[in-house]
Amino acid sequence: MRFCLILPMLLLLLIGIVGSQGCSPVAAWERGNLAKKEMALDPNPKLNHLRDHIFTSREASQGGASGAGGGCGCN
Amino acid sequence: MVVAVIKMEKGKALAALTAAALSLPGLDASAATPVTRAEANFQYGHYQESDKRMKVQVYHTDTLIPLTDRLEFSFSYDRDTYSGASPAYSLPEVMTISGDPGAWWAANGATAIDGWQRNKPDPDPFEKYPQNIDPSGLDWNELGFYKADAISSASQVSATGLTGGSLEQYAVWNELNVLNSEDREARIAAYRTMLNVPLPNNAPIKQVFQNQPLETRTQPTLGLKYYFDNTTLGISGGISDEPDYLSNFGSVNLSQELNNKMTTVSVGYGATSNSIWRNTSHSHAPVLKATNALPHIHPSDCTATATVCAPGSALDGSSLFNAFNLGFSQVLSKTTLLNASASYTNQSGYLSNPYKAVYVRGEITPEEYVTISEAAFLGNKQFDWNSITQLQIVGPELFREIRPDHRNQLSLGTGLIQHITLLDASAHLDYRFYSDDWQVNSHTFEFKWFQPLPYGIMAAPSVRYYSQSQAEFFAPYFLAPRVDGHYSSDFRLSAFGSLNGGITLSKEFAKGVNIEAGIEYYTHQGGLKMGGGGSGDYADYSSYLAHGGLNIDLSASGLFGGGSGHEHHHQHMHHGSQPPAGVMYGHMMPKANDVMAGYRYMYGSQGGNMLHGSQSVSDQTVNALGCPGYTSAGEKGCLVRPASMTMGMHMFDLMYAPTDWLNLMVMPQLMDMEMTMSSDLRKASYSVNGNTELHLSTDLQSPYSGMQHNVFDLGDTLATVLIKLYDDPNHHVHVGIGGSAPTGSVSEIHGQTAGIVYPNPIPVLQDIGMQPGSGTWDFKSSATYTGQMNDIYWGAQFNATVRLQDKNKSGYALGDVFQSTSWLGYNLFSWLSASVRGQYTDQGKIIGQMVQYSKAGELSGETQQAHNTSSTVDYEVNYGGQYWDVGLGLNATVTGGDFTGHTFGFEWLQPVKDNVNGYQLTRDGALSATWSYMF
Repeated sequence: MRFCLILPMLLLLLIGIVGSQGCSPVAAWERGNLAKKEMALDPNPKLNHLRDHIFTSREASQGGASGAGGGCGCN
Repeated sequence: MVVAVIKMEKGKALAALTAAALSLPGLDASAATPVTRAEANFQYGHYQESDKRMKVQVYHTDTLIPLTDRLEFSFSYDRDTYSGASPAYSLPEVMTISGDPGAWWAANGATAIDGWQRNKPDPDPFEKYPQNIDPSGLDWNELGFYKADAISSASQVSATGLTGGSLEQYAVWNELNVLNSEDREARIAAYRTMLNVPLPNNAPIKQVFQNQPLETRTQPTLGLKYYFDNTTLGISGGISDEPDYLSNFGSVNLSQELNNKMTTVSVGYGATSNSIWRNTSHSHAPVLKATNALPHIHPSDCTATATVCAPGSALDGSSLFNAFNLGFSQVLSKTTLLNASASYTNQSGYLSNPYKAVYVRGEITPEEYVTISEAAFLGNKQFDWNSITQLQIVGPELFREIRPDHRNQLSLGTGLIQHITLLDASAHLDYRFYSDDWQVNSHTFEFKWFQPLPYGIMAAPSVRYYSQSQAEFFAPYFLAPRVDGHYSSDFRLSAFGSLNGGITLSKEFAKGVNIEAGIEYYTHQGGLKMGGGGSGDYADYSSYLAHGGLNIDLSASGLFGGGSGHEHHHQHMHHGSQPPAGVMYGHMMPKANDVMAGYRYMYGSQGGNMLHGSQSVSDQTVNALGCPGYTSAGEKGCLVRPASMTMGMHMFDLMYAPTDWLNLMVMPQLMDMEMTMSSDLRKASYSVNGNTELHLSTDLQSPYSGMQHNVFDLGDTLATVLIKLYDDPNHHVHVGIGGSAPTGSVSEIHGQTAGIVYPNPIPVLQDIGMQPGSGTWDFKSSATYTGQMNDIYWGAQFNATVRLQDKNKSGYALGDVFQSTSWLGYNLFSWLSASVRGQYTDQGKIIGQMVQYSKAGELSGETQQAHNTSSTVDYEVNYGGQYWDVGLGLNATVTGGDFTGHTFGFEWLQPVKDNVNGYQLTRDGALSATWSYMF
């Protein structure tokens, strides 16, 4: 049951980061790094699509992956 | 990833910078900045599990095309081919016979063995086995079983007349021994002894596998995205189709940028509707290891009325998934992005796995087994199974798994993306918590690092840890029935952990071409569960995934968007002289340093009647003469014939002109074939001892009846040099000299067979026509003449394919091919032309024979392969012939707009006469479609 604490702790940690850095505006010309491909939420959607299909057909957990996808391929 | 694009003519540095900066990453790459680039992606993945478990080949392609400044269209296409073995159920090892069956029987029923030996009805049961296997070299037990599963062998539950024949060999034993006893109590006691073997604590668990024949899943998906100023609306939908699972899905997604694009919020909804069947040929496929033999799984809902139950009709399930997603992302600083997401999915309907079974002790009592045996013995087909159990029986103590028909799933995720300025790297840290009302809880941690390296290379190592608790109704086996009636032994619902690590390398080349390759390793272990308490190590396995991808920015490479950078372009091929789409090697590029990329799709189908020579023949004739020498347990001739066959060839054409008189051409191919067999042409043979065409004596049709199989794999690779011999404004002659490398497989299999017929798993090859390659190095030559005058053009070609080897690794060589063709065309408009063409093809006879199982070879340690012999396509004499066709074609060259310079061609080839060798299916026709673009 101790693992149930992990999620709230992680959230707290993230909120801490938010709090410490505030939401100071980042101007358009300061967003060069954020605009990099590898800073996207999903920098490699094709590979993730492939991996998600493997994980969801080999593990009980589903959901959280973006978009709908069908099929079973689950033997 | 969203990147704004500025047209080159507006390419002021400041504007570009501002636009790039304004285009912030948003949820699911759906920030409200239109992707004005067109792109195309190709990806290949090879997934392989340990111990001959599942193998999957994944082909993926997608394209993104901006239709207007704000509207974007996407299409993706997935094709998976999978085969291998999958766990069917697990049971205590002590309930199986492994190693020395005699010892088990000595401990549990020595008198039975004595009885069997005395009364063995068939002094030599082995002579009935296929290929006349000599039993002396095999490890048969005293009962004439090859290491059969003890529990399966211990009862008559599945005996003939009720559920069919999986255990009917054992029925003989039962009849001769226990059942012969007048004393019902003694028989009950015998069952009790066999079924209730005491289990020590921590008794080892054994997994039993069943085989998955080669199958293909196809998934096309369409998407549209509309970009408002700060809002993006996306919809997508598609179909996933495999022989036993059809899924329709659609989703809608809305994302909104707030707070000067510092914050993105998104909501989404997706629905998936599934239809699920049970492909009986799966469960009838023999097993991975004889010692792990899974008896035939019978559609038990057919048991009471076995004679009216058609194969495969037993399951007609459906399920519906509704999924809701919420997402949030926030720019925290110049280098930090935070995201969080929540999703809820409601699943309802048939949520079980149609191929999984569970071992449940006590669901049927020894008394009830005796009752069943008596009913079977008396041939009582109206026996009421439901009076014994509500579960679906698939074997003694074995039942189909049953899961609840509802499932609520909740998943919460959060992630941090940090740019590390010092290294110019990016780190992704993600966590997901998942919980459902089947009491599965899981935690997923993932860490990815993106490190730019010299030479434009990006290295992306990643590691992922996953841990889940088990579903409430999971157990490796059940020693007592459950009150709620839910059971599963599917390893996916067990308690385990998994670790996945991998690295992907990618490199950006000039002209917007990105190539990537990577490998990942995955290990599933009960012992990796967080905090311990995993489901043991009996189900542990590992897998790897090797993948490669190609991303082409169609806009940057000049392929799309016409205008920019096209000034260096010459007039493309004078389309007037372009040959019809079905003609290969018919066109040369006129100028040095020209490069052309093309794609050619050729589709052919066969169906309807069978031909012998040029005559249609009846099924009776095919049965009598199409399968020379074939007999099975007294039944003679072809059991089935092909009912339809389709073949699609995807050919990727790359051409380069080092000089104006010589062109180099390379053409890799992907083959996509499907064949369906007819229903049985005659009564299928049946024999208890294995040389049989029916799996169960009660089956109405053999497993070959209506059998559908397909292959999707790499074909041979063509390489040719085209040499110009003569060229003036009206006439042109060139020759092609080259070859074909045997990159295509000649070892595509239906599956593996083992069990009581073969001592080890033996690959069963698909027929020659379904092999995607020739397997031999081939010499290919051609001579082409083209001419034109005003708006009329014409041409002729002769080409030949000669096999340079007389046998490939599967033992045969395809016949040589000689083809001649001529055509006449007319330019209807400056951009469109039409053609008519005649073609004659002579395809020679196959040399040699496809490899077949050999007992002697097996005993001397050679690797064995087998192939079926029940249909015309299994015989070499039924290949090759002479074919006459007439083609009608259209060629178009786009002269304006985004696709300027692209050339498209279509041609329909109509068979007019066939003269086939042996017995072959009538050709319906063939379509060729080509696209090409010269840089």
